[in-house]
Amino acid sequence: MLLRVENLTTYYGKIMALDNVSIDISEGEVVAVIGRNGAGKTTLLRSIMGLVKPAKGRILFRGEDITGKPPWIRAKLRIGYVPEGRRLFPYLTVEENLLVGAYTLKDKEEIYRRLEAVYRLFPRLEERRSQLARTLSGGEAQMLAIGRGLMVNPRILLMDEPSMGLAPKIVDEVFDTISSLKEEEKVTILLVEQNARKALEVADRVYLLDTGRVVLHARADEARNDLRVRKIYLGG
Amino acid sequence: MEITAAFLAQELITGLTLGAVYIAIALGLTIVYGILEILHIAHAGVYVVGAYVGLVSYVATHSVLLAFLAAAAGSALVGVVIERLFYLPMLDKPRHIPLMISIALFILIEEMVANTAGHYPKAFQTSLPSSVYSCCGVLISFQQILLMALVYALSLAIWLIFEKTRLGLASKALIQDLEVAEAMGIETNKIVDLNFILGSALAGIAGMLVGIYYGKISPHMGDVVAYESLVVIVLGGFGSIVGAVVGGLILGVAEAFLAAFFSNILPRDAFAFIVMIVLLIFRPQGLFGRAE
Repeated sequence: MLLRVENLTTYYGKIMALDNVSIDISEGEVVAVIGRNGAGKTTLLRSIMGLVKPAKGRILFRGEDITGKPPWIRAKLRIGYVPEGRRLFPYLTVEENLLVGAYTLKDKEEIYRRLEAVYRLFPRLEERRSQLARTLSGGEAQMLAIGRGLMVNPRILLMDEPSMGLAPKIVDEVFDTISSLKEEEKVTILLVEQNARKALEVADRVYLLDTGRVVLHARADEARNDLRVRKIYLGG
Repeated sequence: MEITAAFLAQELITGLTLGAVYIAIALGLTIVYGILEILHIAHAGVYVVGAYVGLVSYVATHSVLLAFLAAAAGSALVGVVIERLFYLPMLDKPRHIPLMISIALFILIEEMVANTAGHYPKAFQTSLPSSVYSCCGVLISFQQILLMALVYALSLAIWLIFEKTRLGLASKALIQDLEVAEAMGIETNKIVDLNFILGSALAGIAGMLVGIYYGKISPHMGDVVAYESLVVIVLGGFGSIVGAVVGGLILGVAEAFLAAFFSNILPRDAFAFIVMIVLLIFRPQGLFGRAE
């Protein structure tokens, strides 16, 4: 087991955002966490990254308990993170954003190789390497956010709502990218998405969250027929 | 008053020297302001500490170099203690709370220095040459040359650190999004510490430089400086290194010339604040700041 979240309970102020949530993901898998707005999806990813402190429960990464570790230690363990709303460094260039993504790597050669790999995946980023991140279009910005998360050659990539705020055509591009990361680069991905239909197309397994609880855990192809999942489809 | 080329050149040298003093203080302030966006008024207190540590060390060792190193180290220590004890725990509070604490700390530091070392100014005489060079009717002293050379070299070094090193990249990322920077593997507390160490060490060097330049130091030498260094970073755009250098130069030169022509109307220090008020009205982001 690569990542295991055990009985996680997290409060957001006084509101219980996660209620005894357990999920796991093995190497090579793409696992989707779907649910409505406010279901606790983002809080789950932020807990795994160490950006919010859980009240109860454990997070195990490759068998090691990382529950109390600060985010930068988790980054060192090569957990890649693509935050909700992209959160690029707006006044850094495209390339500097990628270099921040590679901050935990010390070897210059390796950083250069990773940069090459990300540019191969997203040639548009190479064209715009010396532009400030704030000048990118929505689609390019999302590519950069993903590229930044890939710089460490992550053992797992946590992706938070990568389709958020993007035009339908760009959403398709983002999901094509996720498929190729899965098929060609064999990246393990934990994907949080409101766009359940799209998420189920790329995922192997899925967890459905509702008001902080896991209400369904199934193979993606089975989940498509579940009534609760279909409701989310319609709700967008 | 007769206006000659020599007169103007002399005022320019006065202005560039004054500018170097401003840069020395504002450079450290802009670094620590940039990293946490806290108006670190106590920076002027850190500057006073540097001046006194410098004097005590010089008296003990008779080495200007060792005294500079001690001033930098003493100030760095005070700066990083303030950051750890008062600023980091206050990051999620409204900005006026650390500001009030900072003002209180500034007064506290000055009073502690006054209680320990006495309220009256102390002479800061060194073995550095006091020679004055003359060229075409313009005078420049060895101490002016030393001050300018040191400050402009330090400015270049600091600029290189922030543009070319991992520390610089990490600092910029942290300023723009602290949480994501940490998720990318940046040990943010350590980077904040390093910025405070660097900025406060600069304040210490500035305190001692000004002490040597004017030949004396006093517990209240930071009073006007606290506000004037704010003018410089307002002028340059908060958090900008190039802005602090250009802002310091503009302020120094403008003050020298305005004082030369209008000193019968207003005291010299008043000009800085007039410049700041006018600038804040018409260009609140400063000359080099980004409009957001």
